[in-house]
Amino acid sequence: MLILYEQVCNVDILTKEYLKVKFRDYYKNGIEIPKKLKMREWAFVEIEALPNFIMKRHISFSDEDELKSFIINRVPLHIYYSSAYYSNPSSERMDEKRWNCADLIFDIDADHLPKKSLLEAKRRVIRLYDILTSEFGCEDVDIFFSGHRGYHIHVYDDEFLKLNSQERREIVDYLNLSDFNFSEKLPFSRQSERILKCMARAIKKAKNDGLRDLFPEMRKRSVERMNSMIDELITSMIRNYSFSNFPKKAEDGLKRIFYKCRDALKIYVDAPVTADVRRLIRAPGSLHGKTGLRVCKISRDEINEFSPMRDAVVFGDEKVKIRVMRKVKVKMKDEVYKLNSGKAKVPEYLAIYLMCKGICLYGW
Amino acid sequence: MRFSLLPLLPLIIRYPFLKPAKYLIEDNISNTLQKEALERAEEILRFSLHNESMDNSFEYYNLLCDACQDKNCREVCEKKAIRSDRNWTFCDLCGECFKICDYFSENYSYLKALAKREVLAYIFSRSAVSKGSLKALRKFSTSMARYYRIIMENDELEKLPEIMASNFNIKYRGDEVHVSDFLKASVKIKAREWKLYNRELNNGFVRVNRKEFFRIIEEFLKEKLVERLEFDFKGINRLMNIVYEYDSKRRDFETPSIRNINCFPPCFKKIISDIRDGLNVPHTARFALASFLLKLNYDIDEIMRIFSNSPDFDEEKARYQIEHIAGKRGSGKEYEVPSCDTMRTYQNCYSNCGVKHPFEFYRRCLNENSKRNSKGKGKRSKINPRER
Repeated sequence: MLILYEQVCNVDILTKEYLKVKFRDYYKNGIEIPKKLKMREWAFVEIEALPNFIMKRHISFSDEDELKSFIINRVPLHIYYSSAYYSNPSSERMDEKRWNCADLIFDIDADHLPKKSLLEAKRRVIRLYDILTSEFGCEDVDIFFSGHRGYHIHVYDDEFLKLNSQERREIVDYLNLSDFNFSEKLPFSRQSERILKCMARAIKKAKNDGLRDLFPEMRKRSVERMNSMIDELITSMIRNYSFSNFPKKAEDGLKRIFYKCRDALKIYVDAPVTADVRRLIRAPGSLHGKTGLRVCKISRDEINEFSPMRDAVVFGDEKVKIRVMRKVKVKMKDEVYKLNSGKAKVPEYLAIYLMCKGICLYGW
Repeated sequence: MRFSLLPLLPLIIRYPFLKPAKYLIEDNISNTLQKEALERAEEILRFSLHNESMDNSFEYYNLLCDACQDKNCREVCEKKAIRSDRNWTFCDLCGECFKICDYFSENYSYLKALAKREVLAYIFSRSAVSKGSLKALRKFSTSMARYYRIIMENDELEKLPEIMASNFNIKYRGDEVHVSDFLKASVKIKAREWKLYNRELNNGFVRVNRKEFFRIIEEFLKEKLVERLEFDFKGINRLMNIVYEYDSKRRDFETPSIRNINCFPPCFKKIISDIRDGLNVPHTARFALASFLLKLNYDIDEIMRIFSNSPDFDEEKARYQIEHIAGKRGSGKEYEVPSCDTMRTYQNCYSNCGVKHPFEFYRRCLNENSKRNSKGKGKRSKINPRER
């Protein structure tokens, strides 16, 4: 079965051939093999069909060599495999694939965040990793840069593989705090604790001068009285998970701080991705066809330092002739490139990045 | 061998679904026992399907193993779960150790007969209801799971949660249950306190008290009891009649696939009006609407007319997709209408109707309408004769 999308992209035969050669060279150096290779469904988008995006799916491989030779022969632009493990992964009918279980997948997409930045996505993925390992007790967890606009987390622990869609959605609700609402007494839970600590920080910061701005509904004298005993109020709030010691008039203000903290603590995982137990996900170690960047595994220790446009770059710096189609500014490998439309000579990695984005063509 | 299963018998009498119960029905079954079990099964079916009362008082008991010093059974345990005490986290209640129990009790034959009767009645009632409709099966499993939960709540046996956890392969370690097991039950329970973020979650385990743990078991039981059990025996017909009685009563309540746009749930009303206004409605919303209309027996051309107002309407593509949803193409599978949870995930839910499935909203509304209409008619018929 084919799935068709339109992709707005400028590309010609020479550019396609160039990308093909370069992608093939990359894959010749090795391909990451996922756990239980035989039970996964694979899907590929081929370079030839560009600018159309045509996905071929329902493909499976019985061993590593078969997968490697397929990729080196066909040189796909995008490579995906199923989070699910099937008895018959290559069957074209979903109900005949015979679902066994599926990795638990999380996707944080920069474009879904309030600030829409990759840096923000990285902060959230770190928090997500820490919650999964401490609260959920996950031990077999990988973090990946998606190669484009986000980060993925794969969980392989047995206990989580069998979860159905509804159960996975409940985990998403936990992380995204969906419908977690203000009440005078919060439930005893780690998520409440986080929100309360965030609220305590906000209130402490406003102590003395800022308190009136946080609680404009209150009279000046009441705010002053509250200010004089604010440390005790905060301590009792954190100890009892309750706001009952605050004056009645403070409720509106507390509510606002609560929701601000809740939204700040929200992880913003993409719910449909996690809830889908038959998802096709970008294969780790493959190249993202829209950037030429590598879908790379990042350890928890390295992630703070990780910079996508530096650490996910795989191609060399040999100079390549290109025709730039519109003005563009890119920072790659810690260097800023400003290009005007017309002929240019740039490092290979930048050339490939711009070709994948449809901003330049190969050759003069 | 003489006292096989002895320590478990009082438990099996209460909870005939426990795994080792299967050993009890390997022996020959006497006619009297068969007759008694059938009567008991009848009682269970009347209780679970027709809400008739059933006795649920049991005698006080204790796990005899606590008093036993010998623990000769230790040798057969491959999971090394028995030392001076039993370590329930290693036990999966396979029952091998209980089979060779040589502890003595003068009640043994009485307990064994009672346990046999309960296990047979349990199997008989499940087999009978398995031949009925899905509705009957669901009603049976819901009532019986609740019944067992109430018995568990009143049971003072200290180790009961551990025993149940072993039976259902639940990871449980004294007032904590693994989050994966918790979720299996909690997603089926509506109350706020079952939301995961309202819980203490640490290192993969969720804190639950004894009562809550039994509530979890209730959900596991429900799941087990809706599995159909294929088993034929003498006297099944009498039991089947009780099931049929339930089904024929239910049929009167069922709503045929009538169309009443006023009763459409808010989500579909909004999607339809958005399409009518020429807004670009997301694919997931169109999918949901098409599957909903198909279930109400709208034909493909009618659905096409509704969609024809979309700004990006492509007749050929739309027809292909609707036919796909109807199961006339591709895998041949007719797609189900998404649940409220799914609608919410894709941000196609716009109100809080208090139902779990859009169809539930529709059916309720139809029922209310028909009640109102029949009342209206009743009044008119009183007035009309005079006017005539």
